[in-house]
Amino acid sequence: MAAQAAIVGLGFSALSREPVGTARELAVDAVLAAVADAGMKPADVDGLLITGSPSAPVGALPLRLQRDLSLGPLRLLAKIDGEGTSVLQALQHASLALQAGMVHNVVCVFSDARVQGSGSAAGYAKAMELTGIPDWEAQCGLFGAVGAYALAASRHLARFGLTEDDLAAYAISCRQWAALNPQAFLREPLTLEQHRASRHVAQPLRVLDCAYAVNGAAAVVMTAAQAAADHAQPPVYVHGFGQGHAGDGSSAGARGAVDGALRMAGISMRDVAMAQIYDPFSSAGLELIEAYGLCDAGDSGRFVRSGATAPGGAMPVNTGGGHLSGFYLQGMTPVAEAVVQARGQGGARQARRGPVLVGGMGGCLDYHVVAVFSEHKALA
Amino acid sequence: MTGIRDFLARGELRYPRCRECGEVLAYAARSCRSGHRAIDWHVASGKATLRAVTTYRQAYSDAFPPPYSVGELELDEGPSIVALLDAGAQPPRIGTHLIARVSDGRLTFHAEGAAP
Repeated sequence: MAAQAAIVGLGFSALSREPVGTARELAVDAVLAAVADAGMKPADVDGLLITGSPSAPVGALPLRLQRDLSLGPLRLLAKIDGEGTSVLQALQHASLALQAGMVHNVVCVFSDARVQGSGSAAGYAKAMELTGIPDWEAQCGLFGAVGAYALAASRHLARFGLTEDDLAAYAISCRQWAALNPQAFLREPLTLEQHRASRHVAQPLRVLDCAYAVNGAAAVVMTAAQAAADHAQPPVYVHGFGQGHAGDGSSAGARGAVDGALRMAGISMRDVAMAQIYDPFSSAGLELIEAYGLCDAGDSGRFVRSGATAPGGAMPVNTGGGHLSGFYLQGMTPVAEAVVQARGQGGARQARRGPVLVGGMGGCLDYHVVAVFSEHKALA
Repeated sequence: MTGIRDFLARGELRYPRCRECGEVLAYAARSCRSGHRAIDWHVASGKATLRAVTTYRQAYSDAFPPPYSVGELELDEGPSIVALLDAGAQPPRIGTHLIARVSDGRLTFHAEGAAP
């Protein structure tokens, strides 16, 4: 089956733990970098899809971003919000618009400026809704995304007899990849002892089980598959998308998203060379590895400990270090790494080439969008 | 819109069911799977099973000094709810049966036989 759309440009703003600009300013930097990477000019862009963090202030990334970039006239312009699935949602919308002939070159950008000095803790304290009762979780003391994910982690660990050392194994696998990625923030080797000594935030989750927050933005340029080979970079073809949203507070929607993406791409899980997943907490990484079907349910600890997901393993996962050791640009972290790998530009961290499974996840394991990327225009 | 807090304010834990189908609903539901909107609130037994639990070691609010534990519970009648546990830093194990306590409009859960 031949792909309908391709990613032909990838660009980043500065990524930093220090304040380096507003989300809107960083978005401009990333879009211009992505357009230049594609060998284009802003005037070539006729679609812009904007994504940001659910915890960002309202209006941080307005449609006025078009004016900041002197883009226009545009034939596609929207802010897309699917929480942690936003970036892949934007890519899916862009693909459909390209396939329909509505547009020629669509930029999808994600930007977040969440780390703003000592006052920034407020953003992390915001409770995540689990029950759907307004303001209920904060009233129960369930602060931060970390609280919701800690509950999910406790359930998953108890169900399968997994331990906090299994969480460590996942974090260590990601750190091994990060050591090979010059763009990753945490590159020093991580040991089991260091993980055990890391303080708990909300048990069973420790500081080293949490995403590494940064300020920054990244953008990709998408174009129709038939025009993709004419640009400066090797094209990354987008072969399939799937969505799955169980609606019952479980991660069960993930499998439907994976199956949908593989079916649309015309391949099976055996053909997948690597996975880039949305792992804001180590526990979410383990649960997604199972929910995606990369290993059996309950087997993720053993699977990760076997080295399967680490450099040299049979199923590399988050080859840039992911959210834990790379950087937390939400859905753009896995998408950007998938582009680098599919282009064959991974340098020391380049994994075996082949179809890349790319995941986005929102809520607390509730919402799932999955895509398949490849350097080949036709798969199977 | 009637909700769990209206009953907690009266010292009661209730749960929602569709008047038409009798289907037990999630606390946030405003309609059932068949689209019926009339919801009856039934008195719950207060018995529940602990499905997930976390103990906070980091402070986020003066009102919740750590360590404290928050659980996700499945009421015997079916719905799930998140609540503070009367357990401090030593929470019960997942799968433990717990009992609801409603006091000053707040819902907490404690182990059977634990002193109030």
